[in-house]
Amino acid sequence: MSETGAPDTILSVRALTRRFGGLLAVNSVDLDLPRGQVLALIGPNGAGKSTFVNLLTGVYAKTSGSVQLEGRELTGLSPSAIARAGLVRTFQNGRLFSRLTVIENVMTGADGRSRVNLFDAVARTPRFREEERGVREQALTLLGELRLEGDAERRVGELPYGRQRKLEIARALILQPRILLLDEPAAGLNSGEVEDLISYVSVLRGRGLSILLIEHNMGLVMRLADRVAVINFGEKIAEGTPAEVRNDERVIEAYLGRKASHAAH
Amino acid sequence: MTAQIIQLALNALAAGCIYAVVALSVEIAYESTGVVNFAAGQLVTAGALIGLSAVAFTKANFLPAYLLVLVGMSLIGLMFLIFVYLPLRRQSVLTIVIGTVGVGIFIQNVMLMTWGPLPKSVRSPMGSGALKFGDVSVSLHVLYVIAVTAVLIVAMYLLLYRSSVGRQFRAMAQDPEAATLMGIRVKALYAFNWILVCVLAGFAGLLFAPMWLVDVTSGDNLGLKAFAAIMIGGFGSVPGAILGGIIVGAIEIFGAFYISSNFKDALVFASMFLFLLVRPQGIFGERIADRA
Amino acid sequence: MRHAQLIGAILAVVAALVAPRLLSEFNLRLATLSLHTSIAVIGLCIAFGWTGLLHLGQAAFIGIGAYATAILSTQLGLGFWTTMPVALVASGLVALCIAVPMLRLRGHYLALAVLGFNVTFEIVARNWTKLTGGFDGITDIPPVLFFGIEINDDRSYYYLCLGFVIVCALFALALRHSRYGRAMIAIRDDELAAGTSSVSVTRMKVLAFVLASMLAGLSGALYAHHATFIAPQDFEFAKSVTILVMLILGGELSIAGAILGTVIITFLPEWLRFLGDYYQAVFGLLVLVILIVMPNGIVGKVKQLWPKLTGRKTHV
Repeated sequence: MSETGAPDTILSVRALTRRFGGLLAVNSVDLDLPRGQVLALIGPNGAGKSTFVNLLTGVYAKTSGSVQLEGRELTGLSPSAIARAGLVRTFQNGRLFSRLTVIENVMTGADGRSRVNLFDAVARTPRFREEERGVREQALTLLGELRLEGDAERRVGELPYGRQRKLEIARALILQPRILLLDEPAAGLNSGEVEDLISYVSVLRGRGLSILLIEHNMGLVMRLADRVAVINFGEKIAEGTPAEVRNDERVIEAYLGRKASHAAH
Repeated sequence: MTAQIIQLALNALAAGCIYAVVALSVEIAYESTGVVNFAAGQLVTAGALIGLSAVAFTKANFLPAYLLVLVGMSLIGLMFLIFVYLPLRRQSVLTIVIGTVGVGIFIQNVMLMTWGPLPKSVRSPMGSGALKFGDVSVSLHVLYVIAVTAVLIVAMYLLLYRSSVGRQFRAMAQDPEAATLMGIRVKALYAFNWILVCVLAGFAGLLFAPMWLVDVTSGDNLGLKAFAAIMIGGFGSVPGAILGGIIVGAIEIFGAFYISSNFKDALVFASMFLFLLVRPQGIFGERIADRA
Repeated sequence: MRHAQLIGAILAVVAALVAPRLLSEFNLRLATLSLHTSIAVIGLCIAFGWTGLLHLGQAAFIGIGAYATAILSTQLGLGFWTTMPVALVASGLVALCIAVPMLRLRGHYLALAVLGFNVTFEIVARNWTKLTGGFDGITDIPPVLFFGIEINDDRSYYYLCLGFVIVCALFALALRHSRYGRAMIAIRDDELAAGTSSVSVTRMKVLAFVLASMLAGLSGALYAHHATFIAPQDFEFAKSVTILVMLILGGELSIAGAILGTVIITFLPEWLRFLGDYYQAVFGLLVLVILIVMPNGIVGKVKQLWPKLTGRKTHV
């Protein structure tokens, strides 16, 4: 198992590739997420970040390569199996269940570890009541941590956007994942909400959760990330500490290339 | 023996051509709006019955009669756009699909009140003659159906792939929002879409009417066969819709002759089901597993 | 609002209990018809209203239940309490065979496959004369025995059906307020997010479809013993459409809405008798009007207007 990465690596991606027709959206990307750390994946718009996330979480099928969570292969599993295996994500554009209440949204996230069957649910067996109570309490705790407890019985559509984004994080956390994948969590948030987000992600990291952060907001990345990987045109072009990456020429070119060449003319 | 098989094959091809035209209508609506049009069968009946009246009105002058059908079906398409599609456009696709079911019921019963319940025969522009090649006897209408379908398919190809309307139409089908930004008049294209859908279904009605007697429910069955054709050919593929139509025609005609005429439609659906077990994406369909 | 719902439910049950004393014989038959039909509509609420499966074949599954109990009771002389479970299992098994392959495909495949199945069912019921009686159907289906007592008058049968409706409604309510209801509704709201939130999407869909079809089977068994005569045209595609309309009229998310919609649509031809031949066309228009004016049905509309009606704020 030595090729799956160092022992303190929780998620290891090897030569992950996805082709759409003639386009290599993700081209042979290697990535290691160290346990208990925040790894940020950055890159300009259209660099292949979204495709990469969709490959990790089973939304797209890979063309080739592998993704292993503590040695367990994730490619080929369904999105729900990957979530149950311990890798849970949020979405860039916030995808909630609009016809469920806020607390029901969070509780739905716990479906994958439910032990009750149809009979339990319909007959309201003690096992069902106990699990339901437990899940509800956990959901309320999470909503409390995110200061959403007052909204528990509201419909999702009644929440302002910033709170909807937080709700999505709560829905992801209730499954007690080993890896939390945040897909552009700061998109559309105001500066106060971004500060809230930064402090909550720091709390989660403090609890030992491994976090893969997809962002293109460099300020946020610099403050949260232990390590940063950069992709452009579907390939990883740099990886290192935030300070290393910030000074990497290829990264500067990827981000500023067009601007720099405009300035030269 | 061979003569019989050739005759059956030509009949199967003619039936298949008609299914292909209906399938094309369903496929175009699906491609451009994501809506599965459950009113397709009733639109086919409308084409047949308007054709019946138009032929009577023009005293069997077929060119003006066909033009009248074209106008009538276009009006139905516009009404569908204004009273159903545009009001429901912001809701989920499922809601619009159910809307088409309501449209089907409405059209069918308006036809029932207009034309009554009795089956009627509709004349073919080819009359009722037949050609004989040795032992093989083929009705002129069957050949006419095959020829008209071929012309329709070529015309559709030119319209969708070789005209600027077609290019805009395909751009809208891929991404309506981007199309709006590019300055494409999306509403006009939606009108184009629903008119095209209705006219194609209406033409299928004109083609099938002379082969069997027509009543207000005749088209229902054609709509179902068109769905089977699309599932076999693969959703999202125009060649698939055409080939699927011909396969369905073959299963029906040969199945009726060699197995059981009572169960011919059941055979079509059973084959469709078995086919999907083996090849779920259809003959030409996109690979479903790759999609989000 | 929650208290209002409870009070509403109690009032509805009381009204349903006294109704037979007030209704004419004809209206009592219609009321009984709407009761057992509403079981199939509750099923559709689970499959379509919650899970988003466009199940346009409930009539065929009602048919499976009806034929199963009719054949077993007329040919083998078995009683309702034996044939009814068989009807449930038969419709569930057929549904499973359709659902497992079709649900791996995208949504409209199931819709069209089930539509094809509904038509195939009609063809088989018409032509497999030995088993189904063909066009003539099956006659003289014996009455239900309830603890040895023959239920052969309309009023008793009404209460029998009412009992079944209450049981099914409670079943669906329990389902709704459990992981199953949440997961199913999540799937229709956002299938992709449901999957990444650890919901086993395909299994949930299969379950929803099979449960819906089993409830239709039960509805059919009750139908057969009520009508005492069944024929293929009782189970044609148009009836599947009517069942869908019942659900969307009442409100596709709500079990109360499913029952309410069924009662209204069952009595509607009577109320609109003055329309004569125009009724069916008006029915088609009605579908469109519901979709445009109140896409969440009567229950959805009431919930939306409730704060205004009571002059209170939405959330308590």
